[in-house]
Amino acid sequence: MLRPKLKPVLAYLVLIVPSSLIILGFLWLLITSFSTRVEGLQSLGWTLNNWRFLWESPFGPQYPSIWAVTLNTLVMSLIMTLIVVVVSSLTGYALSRMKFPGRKGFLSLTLILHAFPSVTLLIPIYFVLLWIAKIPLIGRDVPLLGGFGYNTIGGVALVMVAFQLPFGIWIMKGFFDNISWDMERSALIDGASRFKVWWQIIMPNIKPGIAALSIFSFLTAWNAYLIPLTFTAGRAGKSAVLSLYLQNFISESVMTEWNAVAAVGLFQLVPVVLFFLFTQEALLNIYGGGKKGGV
Amino acid sequence: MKIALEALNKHFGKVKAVDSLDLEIGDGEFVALLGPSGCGKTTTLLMLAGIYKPTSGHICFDDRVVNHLLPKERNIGMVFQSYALYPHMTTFDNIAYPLKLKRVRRKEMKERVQRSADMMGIGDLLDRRPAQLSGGQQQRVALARALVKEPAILLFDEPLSNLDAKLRLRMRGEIKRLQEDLAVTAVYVTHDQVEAMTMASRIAVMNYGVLQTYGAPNQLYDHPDTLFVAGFIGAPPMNFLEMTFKERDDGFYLKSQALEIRILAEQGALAKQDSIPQRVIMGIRPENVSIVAERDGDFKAEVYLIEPLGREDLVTFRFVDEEIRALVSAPFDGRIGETICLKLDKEKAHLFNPETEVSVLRTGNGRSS
Amino acid sequence: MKRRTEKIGERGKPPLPVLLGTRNIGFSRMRGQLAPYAFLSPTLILVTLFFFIPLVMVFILSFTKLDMTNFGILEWWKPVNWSLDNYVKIFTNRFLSRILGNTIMYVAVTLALFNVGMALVIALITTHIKRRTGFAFRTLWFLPRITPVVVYTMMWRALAGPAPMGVINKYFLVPLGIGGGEYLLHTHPWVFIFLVNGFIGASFGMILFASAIESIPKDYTIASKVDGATTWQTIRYVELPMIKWPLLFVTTYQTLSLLTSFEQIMLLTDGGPGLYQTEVWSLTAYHRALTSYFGNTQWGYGAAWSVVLVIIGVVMAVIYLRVFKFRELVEEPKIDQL
Repeated sequence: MLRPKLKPVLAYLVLIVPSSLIILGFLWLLITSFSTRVEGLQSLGWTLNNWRFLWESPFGPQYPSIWAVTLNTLVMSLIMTLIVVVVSSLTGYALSRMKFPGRKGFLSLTLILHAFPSVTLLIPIYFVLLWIAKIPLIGRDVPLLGGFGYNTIGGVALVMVAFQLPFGIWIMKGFFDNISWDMERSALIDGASRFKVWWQIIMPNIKPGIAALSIFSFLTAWNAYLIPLTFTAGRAGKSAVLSLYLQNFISESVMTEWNAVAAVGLFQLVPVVLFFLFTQEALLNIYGGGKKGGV
Repeated sequence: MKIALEALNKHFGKVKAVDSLDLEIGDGEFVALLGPSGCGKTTTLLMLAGIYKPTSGHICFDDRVVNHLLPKERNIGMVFQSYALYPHMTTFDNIAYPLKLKRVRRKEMKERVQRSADMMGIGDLLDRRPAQLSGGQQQRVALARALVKEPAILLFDEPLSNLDAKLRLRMRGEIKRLQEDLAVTAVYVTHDQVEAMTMASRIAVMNYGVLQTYGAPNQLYDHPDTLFVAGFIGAPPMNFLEMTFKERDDGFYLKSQALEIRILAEQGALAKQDSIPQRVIMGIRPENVSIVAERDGDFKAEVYLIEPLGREDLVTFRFVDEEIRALVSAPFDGRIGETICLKLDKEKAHLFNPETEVSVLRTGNGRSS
Repeated sequence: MKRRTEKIGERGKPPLPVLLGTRNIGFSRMRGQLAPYAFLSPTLILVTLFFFIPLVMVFILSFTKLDMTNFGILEWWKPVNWSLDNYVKIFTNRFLSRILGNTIMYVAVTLALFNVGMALVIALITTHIKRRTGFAFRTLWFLPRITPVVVYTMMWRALAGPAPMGVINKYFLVPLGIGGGEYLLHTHPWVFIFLVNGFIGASFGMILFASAIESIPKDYTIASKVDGATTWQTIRYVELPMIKWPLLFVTTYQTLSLLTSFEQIMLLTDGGPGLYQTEVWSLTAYHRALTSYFGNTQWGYGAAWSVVLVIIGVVMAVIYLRVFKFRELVEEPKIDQL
C-alpha cells in the first residue's frame, strides 16, 4: 500500500518545497515594506513611512506623482496589448490560413526572431526610434501616448510589441488552426473578402484566444523593465513607467531605501496579481485546442 | 447555368486528388458526385466553388472560363456537411450575411431573408443562435443562406450525413423538390448511393480521383460499366463470383468449383470478343438470385445468415468457399445450416474483365455520357 | 497558356473565350496573390524596424571600434574603418571558454529543471488536484513573473542574505548547523541564478502546459481510467503524448529566451562574485556595449559579442526546427489563393 501512495506524496513535495520559497520571499517583501528594518522575517520596527509615495512625491513637486506614473504604465500596457493582439492575429491568420510562397519559411522566421537578443539591438533601436521621432504626426506630440518615437510611451510600446510578436503570432496561429475550414469557405462563397472573413467571421470565434493573449501581453508589458529604462529619457520624466519610478529610490539617493523599494514594488504588483486572479481562467485558454501544428 | 469541366486536374503534392476529369452538367440539372471518401468528389466541388484552384484544366460556367473568378464572383450557393453556420450570429444574421456583403438595402434584405426562411420553414427561428437549433434546423438555416442570394448554381457537400435517418429521408425529398421548383443547377456530393440514386438526374461515380462513369441512375444500376460502379451502386451490394469462361458446342459456360452455368449467347459472344482467355468475374444482384425447387436450380448452398429487412429478407448462403446473398420475399422459411437450391437470373448477370475491371458487356450499351 | 490552347484544339472544341476580360481576371488574381502580404505587412514593418535594421547596424558596428570617446568622430559606416579586430579579440579572450561554459550551463540547467521540468510538474499537479487549489498554486508561481525584476532580485538577495538577516540562513541553515551563515549568493551564486531565473521561467511553461492539459478531451482520460490505468499511467501514456506540441514549443522558445536573457543575472550577481564566475554571453555583450569599466563603453566590441550570440541563437533555433520536423507538421491551408 505504500508504493501507490508514495508517488503523489513525492509530487506534492516537489510542488510545495519550492513554492514555500516563493511564499517566504513575498512574506519578507510585505514585512519589509512596513518596517524600518528587518532581521529575517522579523520586523525591527513597524512604519508606514515607506508608503508615503502614495500621498506625496518623495523627490519634490517637479517630479510626476505615482498616480501619473501608474496611468502611464496602464496606457503603455494597453497600447502594447492592443497592437500585439491586432498584429499577431493578422499575421497568425495569414500563416495559418493563406497560401503564399514562403509561408513555412516565414513561420520559422518568426520563431527565429526570438533568438535575437534585445540587448543586441538596444543601441540600433535607439537610432530607429530617434528617426521615427522625426516623422511628422506619429513621431511625437500625440496626446496620451506622446507618439511612437524616442522617449514616448508609444515608442516604448512599439519596441515591446516587436519583442512580443514571435510569441503572439504562434499563439494566434494555433487558434486559427482550429477554426473550421468550412465556415471560412462558406463566408468566401457568401461574398466576403479574406479581410472581412478575418474580421467578421474568424475573429469573433477566437475570443478566448484573444483574451488569453491580451492577458499575457498586458502582464508582460506592465512589468517591462529594460526597454522602458533604455528608451525613455529620465526616470522621472513625463513618460516614466512604474518600473522606472522604482529606480529613483535606488540611484538618486545616497543610501538606497530598500524598504521603500519593496513598498513601490508591491504597489506595482498588487493590481496585476488581482488582475491575474480574475483572469487566470481565461488565460488558461491560451493553448488553442490540442491540435498539432498549433503552438 | 451550364457547367463544363474539361481535363480538370487537382494535385496535392504528389497526390492526384482529381485526375483529368471531364464532365458536363446541363442547365437546371441535378447531378450527384458519388464515391467513397477520398475519391476527389469534394475536391471537385470546392474547385467549382472557387475554394480550390485547379492544377490544370478548365471550369466553365455557360461557356465562360471561371478558373480565376473568386468564390464571390461565381454566383453560387453552397451547403456544407457541417452546415458551417456562423456561431456568433443569429439565424437572421446568418441568412442575411450574403446580402449584407452585397450591400442590399435593409428593407429588401429583411424581406428576402424572411422569404427564404419561410421557404425552409424556419421563419420563426430568426432570432436564435445556431447553438440553440437542432441539427435539422441548422441544416435548414444553411439552405436558406445558400438560397437567399438566388444563386445560379447550388453546391451540396454531403449535406445530410449529420442528420438522423428519418430526418435525412425527409430533407432528401425537400431538397429535391426545392431544386425542381427553382430549376437551379445543382451539384450534390455524397458517398451514399441511395441519396445519389433517389435525387440526381445523373450520377458521376468517382474513385481515386478518376471518373468511373456518368449516367442516369437506372442506367448505372442496370448496366454498370466497371466492377467498382457495380459494387458501389445498389444496396445490398452486388455479388461477385470468380469464374472460368468456357465455350462449348452448345453455348457459353461459366464454371467455378461449385457451379457451372450457361450464359446467354450474346453475353458469351461479347465475353469472347473481349479476349480474356479464361477468367471472368460474374456479378449478380441479390434480387436476381432466387430459391427454386431442386430440379430447376443452378447450384446448392447452405444458409449462413438471415437478415430480415421487413418486406424482404436478405439471406447469405455459403457454398464451397464462396458466399452469395439473395433477397427473398419475407418471411424466409429456411433455417440456418439448411441446404437450399439457388438459381441465378442469367439475363441480369454482369461480366467483368478481372484485369481491367471493365464490363465485357459494355460495348452493347455504349459508354454513357 | 500554350498547352491550354493545344488541348482545346485537340478536342475539337470551339475556342473558349479565355482571353475575354483578361484585364479583369489579371486584377482579381493579383489582388488574391497580394492579400497574404497585406495581412503580413504590419509584422513586416515592425520586424524591419526593430529586428532587421538594428541587426544590420549591429553587424556593421561589430566591425568598427566605435565607442563613447570617438562617437560622432569615427565614420563607422565607411568600410575603411571596418576590421575583424573585435572578433579576434573575442576569440582570443582568455575568459571566452568560461563565458561559453557558463552560458551553456545556465541555459541547460535552468531549462531542464525549471522552464520545462518544473513547469510540467506544476501543470500536471495543479490540473489533477482540486480546481481552486490548482488556481492558487498557479497564481503563486506566476508572482515571480509579474513582480518588478528589481524588487524580485532584491527579495532573493534577502532570502540568501548572511545570518542573522538572511531568511534561509536564519530559519534553516543555522538551526540545522549547516554552513557558517555566510552570504549564500557569494558561496553558491549559481544555485541562486538557477532559482531566480527558473522561478520566472517556470510560469511560462506552466500556463501553456496547464492549458494544453485542460484542453485534452475528457473522453481520453476517462477511457484510460476505465481501462484501469493509475493517475500516473494516464499522465504517462495519455496526457504527455497529447501535449507533445506545447512541450516542443516551450523547449524551443525558452531555450532562446534564456540564451538572450541577462537582466536577472545582472541585478543579482552582475557576473560575480569571482572574476567572470557567473558571466554569461548576453551579459558580456551588455557589459561591453553599455556599461563603462574605464569610463568607456565599447559599442563596436559589444556589438561583435552580440553578433556571435545572434548566430548561436539562430543556429539553435534552426536545429530545433529541424529536429522537431517542424515543416512536416505544419498543415497546408485548405483554401487556395486564386
